[in-house]
Amino acid sequence: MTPPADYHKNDGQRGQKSAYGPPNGQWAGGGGKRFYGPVLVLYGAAIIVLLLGAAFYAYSRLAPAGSQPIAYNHKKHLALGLECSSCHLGIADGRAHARLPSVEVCAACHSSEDENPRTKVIRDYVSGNKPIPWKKIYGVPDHVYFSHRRHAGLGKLDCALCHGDMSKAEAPVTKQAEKITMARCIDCHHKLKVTTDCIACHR
Amino acid sequence: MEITRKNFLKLGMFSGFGFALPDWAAKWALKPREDLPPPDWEETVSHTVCGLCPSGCGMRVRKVDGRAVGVAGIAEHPVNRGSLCSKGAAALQELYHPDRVKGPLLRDGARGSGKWKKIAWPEALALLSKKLGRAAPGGGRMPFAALTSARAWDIQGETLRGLAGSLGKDNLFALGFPLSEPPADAYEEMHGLRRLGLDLTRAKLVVSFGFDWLQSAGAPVGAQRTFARLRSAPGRERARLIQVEPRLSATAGKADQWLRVRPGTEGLLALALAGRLIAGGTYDKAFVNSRCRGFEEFKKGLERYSPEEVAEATGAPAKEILKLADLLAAGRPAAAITNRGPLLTQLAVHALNALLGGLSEGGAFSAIADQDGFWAGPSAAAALAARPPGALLVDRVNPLFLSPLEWKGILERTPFIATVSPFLTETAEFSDLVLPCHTPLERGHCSIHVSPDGSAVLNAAVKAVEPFYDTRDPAEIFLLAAGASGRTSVPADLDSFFTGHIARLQAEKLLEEGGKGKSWREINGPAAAGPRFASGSGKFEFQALTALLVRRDAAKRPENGEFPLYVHFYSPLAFSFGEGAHLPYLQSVAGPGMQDAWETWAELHPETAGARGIADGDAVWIASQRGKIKARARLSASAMPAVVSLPVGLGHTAYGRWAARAGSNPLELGSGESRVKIWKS
Amino acid sequence: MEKLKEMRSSRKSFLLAALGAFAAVFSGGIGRAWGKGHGSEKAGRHKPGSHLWGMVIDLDTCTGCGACVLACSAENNQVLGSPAEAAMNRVIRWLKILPSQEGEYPLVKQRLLPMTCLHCEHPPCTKVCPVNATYRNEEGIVGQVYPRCIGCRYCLNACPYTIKFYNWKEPVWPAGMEGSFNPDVSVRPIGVTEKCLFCHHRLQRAREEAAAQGRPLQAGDYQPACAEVCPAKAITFGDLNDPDSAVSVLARDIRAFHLLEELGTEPKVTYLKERS
Repeated sequence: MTPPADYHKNDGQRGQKSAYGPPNGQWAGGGGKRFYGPVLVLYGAAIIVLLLGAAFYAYSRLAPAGSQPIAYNHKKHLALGLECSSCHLGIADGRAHARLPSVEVCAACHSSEDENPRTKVIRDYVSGNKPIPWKKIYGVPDHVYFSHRRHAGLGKLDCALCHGDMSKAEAPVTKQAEKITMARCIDCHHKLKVTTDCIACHR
Repeated sequence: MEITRKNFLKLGMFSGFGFALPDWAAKWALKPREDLPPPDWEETVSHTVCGLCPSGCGMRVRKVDGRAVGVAGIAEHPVNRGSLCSKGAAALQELYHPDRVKGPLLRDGARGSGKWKKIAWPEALALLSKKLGRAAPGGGRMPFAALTSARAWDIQGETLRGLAGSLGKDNLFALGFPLSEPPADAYEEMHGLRRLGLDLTRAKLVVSFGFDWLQSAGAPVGAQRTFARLRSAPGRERARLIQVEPRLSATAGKADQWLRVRPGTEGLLALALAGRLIAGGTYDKAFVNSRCRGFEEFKKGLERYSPEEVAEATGAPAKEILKLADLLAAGRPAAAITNRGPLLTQLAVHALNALLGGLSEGGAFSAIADQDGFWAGPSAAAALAARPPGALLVDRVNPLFLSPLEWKGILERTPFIATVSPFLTETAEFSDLVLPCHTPLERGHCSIHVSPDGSAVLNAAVKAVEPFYDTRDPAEIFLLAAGASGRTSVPADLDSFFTGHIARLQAEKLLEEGGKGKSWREINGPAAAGPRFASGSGKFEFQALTALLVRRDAAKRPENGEFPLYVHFYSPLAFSFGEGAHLPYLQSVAGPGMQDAWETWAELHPETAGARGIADGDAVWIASQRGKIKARARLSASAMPAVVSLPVGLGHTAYGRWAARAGSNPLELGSGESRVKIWKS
Repeated sequence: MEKLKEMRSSRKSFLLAALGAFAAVFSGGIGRAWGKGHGSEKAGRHKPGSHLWGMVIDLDTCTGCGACVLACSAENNQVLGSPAEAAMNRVIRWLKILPSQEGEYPLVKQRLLPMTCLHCEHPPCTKVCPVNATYRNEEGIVGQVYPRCIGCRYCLNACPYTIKFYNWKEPVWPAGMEGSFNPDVSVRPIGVTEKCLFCHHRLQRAREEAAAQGRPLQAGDYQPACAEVCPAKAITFGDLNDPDSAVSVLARDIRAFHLLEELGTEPKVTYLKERS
């Protein structure tokens, strides 16, 4: 199975330039050519440089700890009796995409009469009617179709299944509590005996 | 991440910089960016009117966070019933076109040099008002003229009419596209009216003379829907279709019979058929006896057009002509249709309708509810050539592309030209002032659309999306200019005009319901059969046709040694009205058999090509008496020998990156020209 | 030296991918998807295999106007096309009008045939895919999983209808034009094969909508863009498993035929020949 000669040229750019979002292991295609013998020193150096580079890349791309604009405390809010869908609109009203709370959502409770110094940050957003630059922590690549409506709305799945138990979380979310991977999706789909048709999720 | 040479180097560089950075720089570089909040994915739907032609199809725009991401037809809309034509389906490409004019432009160099100065709107509008207001009569000049497209009863058209009215009289011209228009000149000569309703679905037999109506009809969706109804509507007899045309067009390919004739001789064939029907006594005698004038003279004039002579002139075998006449006699009610081609063809074809019962009760033709203005006038070019305007305002038409030979001279003699268009068309490029307007999706609508069958629909809609650039609603431009003239009582701001217009047409409810319910209202259905006659006699007039028959020997084929070939122009649906080449998707449907166009094809018979050493795919020059163009030869066994067929629509020199420099414009040969020569480039 | 590294690394990624594909198939992650339906019939969940999607194109009413081609291109974020690509016949259009002419004047016949993936019951393309990126799903749609595709183009060669397309170039849009993208459909990168999926994303949406209303999917809920846009209503789409659906009735019409029927691919796009 020798791939055509010009095939390799395409490989390098695929994960990078495509509109498919973050590079992903599944994209690693490619073909083999003859093995010419090891050049160990260079290879080793290459790997070290590469690892450092990758670390930097990951650091610059992903949101580092504490980078959410507001030190939001899920535990406190949920303890007040709020539901996930009270702030994350889109789950309840039947949309494919759930949303991070807009400033209007916060404004419903955090009015200007509130004097608490710890909530000044949010009041500033509210009074300035500035959009809150939330960092999106959860997401799927562009080539995956995921519908909250289908899972949380119609399927009545517990949010914690993918997002962890937020009723104990006091710090703002800066990393995925449960890593969203295809293996995880498939695993759950098997358990719940729902479709594992590729194009049900891949588009 | 994949390990490739490129990534390897990239990462190496990153890490190198990372180590080398001083502290402050590292802090700056490593600080997470303030991202915009993630998208809301708020999905909404707006109802609007498709603005790519005047048919008035209802359009649903799907939006995500206010951004248009899809269009579809409105399922219940009476004009299109959920469908769209290829142009409508490409509507988003016009909205998102990268070469839209993004703000007013003032000429900064010689005309047509492409040098512009960006100016602000107040300045642009002040200049426009000054130039229009100062245009004074005298010197054989029309002080001011406005040029717009035919069939446009919308806010844009109404306000332009208001502006023109405030500046003088008889200064508003509607420019048509003859390949797509009904034979209005014949209607005028024979009925005393420039427009008739035509409901083809009432006919059992449709014979089209040189009119590729499936592709070129002024209402593309209507044409396809009519075809489907003619062929397989439940509970009705399948209609027969006959196509008389030089080329195997889409319509010819779908017809039951295709009769190949030389370009421009379709009218002669109609005359031969008329002669045959009269000789056989198989015409609508009741109608001819009671409602026609000049029949006997016409009958006499036809003597010269025997099937044999016409066969000689048209290239169609006499036997076929006789057969066709028999079919016509048997297939009533029949409708004979053509476009606004040579006057003889228009008259001869419409005379057939009188003979075939098309004008009687139950026929396909009808009187149409009258609407003021905006029908294509007899000839805007002739009027303006005789009296060039002091100032010309061009709205949504592109005369320099549609008939370059006529308009070049007129525009050169016009001291001030302002063009209102979202794109730099050829005419805009030749203007002094370009006023970029919103595309149809970016503006509110309140418009009346009259279908060929006479049915009329009122559409009303608010803008579907927020305007992208520093553009204005064309109506607003006209209102402000009219307001500045000080000779109008119409409010100068668009909102109050729009509200007033809506109220006048009682369309408030349509606006409220737009996006949820009906954004349209049917004003009237198809007109009842039986047309009016506004001619002096109150009857159908054969006189004009007879005069043509007597005056010259129309059947004689002029030989022309220098230009031995006939040229046939046709208009693919994708580029109807000479518009559409600016939308890249449309190149894929530039015409059946064309596939992806991107260049102009000259269809030739292999023999005709072979005699000139031309092979399929060769670049060729085609020249008429008045101009020459380059095209790519395409040999087709079904083409008529000694005929060159050329599609109209490509060959723009401006109009955005996709239209400019793709193909060539056959109209540069002169739209009235019939003879050409061809040679290998 | 760099060349060497490149070769080495591509070999590595190839092996990784091969291993991944192997593991995926044999762990049952994907493999089971082809098995018989295993869904429950709870409200809101469809029973796999209960539908068989098919299309009928009536060549008698079709005028070859090309509205379907445009609707398909726009719906599925297809490339814009260019003179250079057109000259090489590489403009990707999942649905195109195939013109053909037979005979000589006056007995000449022109046929304009809208051609899309025929979604064969026995698709030759799926059998040659080394990574299972293309397959027939439970409802008869021949799927193409772009992230899985390694771009070997075997399926292009296997398809007797030549209606699968390879991205020879990274698709480019002028700045700002990507705003018009349909968010339900991805943009395929260079090196990937793409094809018509019967607007599968519309099925997803229709299914969600039906589930939200607590009713089963009904006829007409799900129409691909081409069927929706057709002015002559020449395209009928629906469930072939329902013997009374419009598409089933038409597929049994005396005028029905399939392209290259003799190959035994059993296309689910049926054509109705012109009446005479």
